[in-house]
Amino acid sequence: MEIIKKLDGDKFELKVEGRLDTTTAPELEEVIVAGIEGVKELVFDFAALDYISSAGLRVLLSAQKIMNKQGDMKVIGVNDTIMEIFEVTGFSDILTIDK
Amino acid sequence: MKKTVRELTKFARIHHSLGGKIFRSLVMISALVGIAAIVFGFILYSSAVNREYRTKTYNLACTASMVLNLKTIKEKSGQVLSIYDSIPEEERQDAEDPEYLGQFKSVEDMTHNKLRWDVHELQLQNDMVAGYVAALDLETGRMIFIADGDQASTYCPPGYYDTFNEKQISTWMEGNKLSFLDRINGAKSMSAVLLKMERYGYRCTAGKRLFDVNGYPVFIFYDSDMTQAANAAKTFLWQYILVIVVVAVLAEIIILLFVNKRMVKPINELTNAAKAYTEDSQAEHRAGRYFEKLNIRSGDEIENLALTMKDMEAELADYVRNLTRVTAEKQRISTELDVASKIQEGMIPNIYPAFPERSEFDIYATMDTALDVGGDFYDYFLLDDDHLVMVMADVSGKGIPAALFMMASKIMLNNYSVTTRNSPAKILEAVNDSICSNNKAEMFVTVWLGIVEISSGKMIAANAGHEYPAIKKADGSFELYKDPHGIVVGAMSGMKYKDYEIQLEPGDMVFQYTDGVTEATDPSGELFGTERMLEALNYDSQAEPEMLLLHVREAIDDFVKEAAQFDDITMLGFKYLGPKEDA
Repeated sequence: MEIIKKLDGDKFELKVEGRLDTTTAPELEEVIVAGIEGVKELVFDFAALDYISSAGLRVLLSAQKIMNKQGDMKVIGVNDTIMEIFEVTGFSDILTIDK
Repeated sequence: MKKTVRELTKFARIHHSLGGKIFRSLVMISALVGIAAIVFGFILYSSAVNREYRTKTYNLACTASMVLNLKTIKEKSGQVLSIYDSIPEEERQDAEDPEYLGQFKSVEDMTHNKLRWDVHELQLQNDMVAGYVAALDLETGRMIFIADGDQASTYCPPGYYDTFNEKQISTWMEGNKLSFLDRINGAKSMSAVLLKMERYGYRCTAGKRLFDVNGYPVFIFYDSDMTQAANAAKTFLWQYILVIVVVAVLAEIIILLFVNKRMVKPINELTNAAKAYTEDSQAEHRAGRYFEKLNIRSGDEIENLALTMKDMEAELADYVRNLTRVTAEKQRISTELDVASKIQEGMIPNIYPAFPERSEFDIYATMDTALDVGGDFYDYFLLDDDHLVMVMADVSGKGIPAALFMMASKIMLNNYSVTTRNSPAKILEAVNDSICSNNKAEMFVTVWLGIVEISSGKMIAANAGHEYPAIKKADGSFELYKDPHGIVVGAMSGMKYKDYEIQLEPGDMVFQYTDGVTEATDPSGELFGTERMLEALNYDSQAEPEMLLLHVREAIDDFVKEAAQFDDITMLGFKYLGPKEDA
């Protein structure tokens, strides 16, 4: 997994590539925890994400809960595989998803 | 491979000895230094002795040139050399020929005798072996005797001659060539030659040129005996060698004793301590037993080594204590995990047939955890005679946290189902709110919950973010049922779920599973997927639930091959057989 960070004022964009699973999710969580303070807009770019496991979903859920308090969170570039996972797990109901 | 000390032969060990190495080096160094000292010392000594002899002899020749009666010498030289010149060369070939020598008889008169005695007197006073007046014939290299001071049988009469080579002649004529040592010692050039002749032995012959007569240079010569000097040099050499050898041997012994005491012994003590240390099988008792006792006070690197070893021993002891503690701790955790795993297994129904008295349905489920304790679970229980609840769930994360969360979820689902008798959606909503109210770890669980009315075959179910169930109609094949999905349980409170209804006919089957099935991965990273799962489910249309699960499991094993199981694999199969005949 690879994470490309881009902080633009109070907009924090994270481009996640590869597999987001039990072994890699803690890394993403660290990046989010370290950079989320004062962020008004959090964007996840999943265009190059191959797979997301429940551990990855948990990280998204945590981020969503934090952003509910301080701004907006958006997931963009979601492909069919990831979209299916979001739909099956019901995450499509609580996330703002731009395909 | 390098051998350890223990594997070395006795010979190799001796060869490995520091003392032996130092001994060999010392012998070599002292041999080299000794030989150099002997050679250089001997050269210095003998050149000094030779110089002294040359000086002494030459000085006497010079003194003689001043005290002897030069008039007589000139007169006698004139007579001898005139006779010598008058004799044709062919008749001068043999210096000992009586006929040749006889021609000089006239020279030996009283004045000649007086001159000989004067020469002899000086020779005796100055401890020389010979003294004589002679002229040099530069063309032939002959030294022609004019007046020999010798009064004994070795007397050389006038006209007698000895022959010398060019170098010797030129030394008398021009003085010694000075060697490097002579120069630095400030020696002067002297007309002195060291000679080894059969007739006279080893001598130093020095001459002082007096004047020329008939074109022949005339000299006064004195000889000193070099045999004594040579013997003295020999004696000196032997004494010198003896002293050097004795000193070298003594020095070696002292150094060896020192090395042995200060280096070899301490190192051997260290080696023995290390050996005893490694041979002590009871690691935890080693602390301070071996290196701590050593008393090495060599005041150098070896003492440092001993101190370091002491520290190491203490540190290793600490480490071993720590390790023992950690190992015990791990052992305890492992034992507890075992118990936890057993408790978890005990929480899940796994005795088959599950409901032997019920002929209306058949149910079978399995769970293989990837770790000791897992986050998947299934459950089924009767609410009453006519209602069967089936649950399939997957907790996010793995290991102990997931297992704890799983236990809580399972108990809550069971409790809410039994006590409220609500629909699946309501049960999920209630459990979701309950979990969300105190979910510090932010874990969640995907749940599929179905309730079957056994008498009618009507199944009401709800899905909280779990996989799509696979349903098989009696005469068809398994197909995914795209049921409405709500969000996973535990994500956010206040979420709503949707009930849906499926009418099951006798022979219909329901298959539920966790993502451990669809996301089983082969070595190349490819997922097992729902296509392969459906294929396995439809492999044998007559399969009962137990066989059905076995088919899927075999298909997964074939697919992943040697890749390690990464997620829990949990499956549940349900077959509706129809209402009781007598109902």
